[in-house]
Amino acid sequence: MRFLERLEPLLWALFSAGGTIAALLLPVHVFLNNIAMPLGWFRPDDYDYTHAARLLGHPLVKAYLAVFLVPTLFHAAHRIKLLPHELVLPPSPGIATPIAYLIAAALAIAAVVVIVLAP
Amino acid sequence: MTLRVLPRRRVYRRRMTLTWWVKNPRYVNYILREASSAFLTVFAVLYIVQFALLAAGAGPYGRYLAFIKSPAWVALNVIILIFALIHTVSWMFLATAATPVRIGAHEAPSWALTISGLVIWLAISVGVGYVILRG
Amino acid sequence: MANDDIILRVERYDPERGPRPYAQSYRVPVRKGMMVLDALNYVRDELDSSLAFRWSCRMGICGSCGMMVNGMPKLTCQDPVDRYRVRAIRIAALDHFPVIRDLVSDISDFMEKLPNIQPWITRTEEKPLSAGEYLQTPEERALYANHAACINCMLCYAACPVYGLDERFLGPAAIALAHRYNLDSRDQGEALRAPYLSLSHSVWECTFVGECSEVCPKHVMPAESIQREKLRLALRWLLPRAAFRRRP
Repeated sequence: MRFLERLEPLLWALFSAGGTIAALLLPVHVFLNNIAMPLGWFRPDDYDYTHAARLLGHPLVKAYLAVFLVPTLFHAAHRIKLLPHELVLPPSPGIATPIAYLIAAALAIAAVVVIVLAP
Repeated sequence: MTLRVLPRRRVYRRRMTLTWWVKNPRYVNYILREASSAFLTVFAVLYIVQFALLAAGAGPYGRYLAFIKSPAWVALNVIILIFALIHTVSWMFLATAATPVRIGAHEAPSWALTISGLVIWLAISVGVGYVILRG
Repeated sequence: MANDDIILRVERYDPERGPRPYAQSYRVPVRKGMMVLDALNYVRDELDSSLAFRWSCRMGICGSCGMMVNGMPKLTCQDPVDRYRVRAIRIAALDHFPVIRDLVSDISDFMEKLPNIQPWITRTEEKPLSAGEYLQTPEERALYANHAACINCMLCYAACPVYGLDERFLGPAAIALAHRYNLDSRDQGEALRAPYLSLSHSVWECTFVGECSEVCPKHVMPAESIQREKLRLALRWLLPRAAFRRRP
C-alpha cells in the first residue's frame, strides 16, 4: 500500500491517459466489432478469419491495440478500486486497491501476449 | 491546535448509506460514470478472448464467430456500448474542466473544449471504423 | 391559517435529550423576499427560542449559515423560500460534520486541516522593504481571483461524498485554497505545499464528483482546482526538477 501511495502521480497519469484513450476509441470498437459484426450489418464476409488475421498481422495494428487496451485497463482499475467503498460496501480501499491493480496488470500482460501471438 | 467544542460522544453524526447517491441526479450520474469502468474492463476481457482464439487458428476463431451471433452476446455488448458512451461523454466534460487551456490571457471556456473533444472523438471513430471495415 | 404559510421541518438534536435527532415542524408566514434564514429567525423570535443555528451577516459573506435545505447544502441567507414549491421545507445541519446541537455543526476538523496547506503568501526569498511591495498585474490576479472568493461556508464539504465516506480527506475548500496560492504570482510556496498535498487523504483521494463546485455560492470551483493540482503534482513527479524553477 505504501508503495502504491508513492506511485499515485504515475497511476493518476495512467488513469488520465487511459480515460482519454478509452473515451476516444472504445465506442467504435464495441459498436463495430461486438454489435454490428455479429448482426451482419456490414458486409458479413469481411469478418472471417483471413480478414481478422490480416488486420492483426500488421505490426501497427498490434501496437495500436496495446496502446488502446493497457492504459484502458489501468484507467478502469483506478475507478473500480473505489466502487465498493463508494457504495458503503466491503472490501475497504486498502484491500480493494492492490487487488484492482493486480488484476489490471494481469489482464494487461495477457492482452499484450495475445496481441503479439495473434494470428 | 485543538478547537473541539464538545467531546465526540456528545455529538450526532449522520452516516452515509448504500443509497446515498440516489437522492441527487448528479450523484447518479457520477456512480454511472464510475461504474462504466467495470464495463470497460469486461470489454477488454472480451477482446483478449477474441485475440486468443484468433491466435489459436481458423477453427477456434470460426467457433467464436458462430458464438457471437447469440442474442445474449449482442445484449451484453449493447450494455457495454451504453456505458462506453457514458464514459466518452462524461470524460469530455471532466477532462476539459481539469485541463486549463489558455488562449492569450484568457482561459478557453470549458464548453468549447468539450465540444471540440466530442468532434475529435467522432472524427477518430470514423477513421478507426474505416480501418476495421476496409483495412 | 394563511394560505402562504410554509412549514419548516427541522431536524433537531439535543445531546441532553438523547443520542438521536428528532424532527420538529414550525409554521411560518411567508413575507416577500423571505430567505430560509429569515424563516428560521422568525421561528426563534416568535415560536421557539431554543432552536439553535448559526448566522451573522445575512448577505452571503460570513459563511456561517450553511445548512441542508431539502437535502441540498445551501447558504440559507441566500436561499429564497419561494424557490421551494412544496409546503414543507426540510432543514438539517450540514451533512458529513458532527452535529453539536440542532443546526449547528462542528467544523473544527476543517479548521485543523487548513493551516497545513499554508493558505497565505509564502516567500522563499524576501525582498527588502526598500524594494517596495510585490506588485501584480490584473492578468496575474485574474488567474486565481475566483478561487480566492472562498468564505469557508463548508457547503462543499457537505456536498462531498469522498469526505462523507472518510473524514480524513483534506477536502474541497482546503485544496482549492492551496491552488489559489499556488497560482498567485507573488507566492513561492508551491514546493512547500506539494508534500502535504501528496500525502494520502489529500488530492489523490478526490474522484472529481464535481458536486462541490455545483453547490459553491462563490463559484470557487474546488473540483476543477483539485484536478489542476493533481496535474501540477503529476508533472512535478514525472518531469525533471529543472522544469520547476522558482518564480523570481
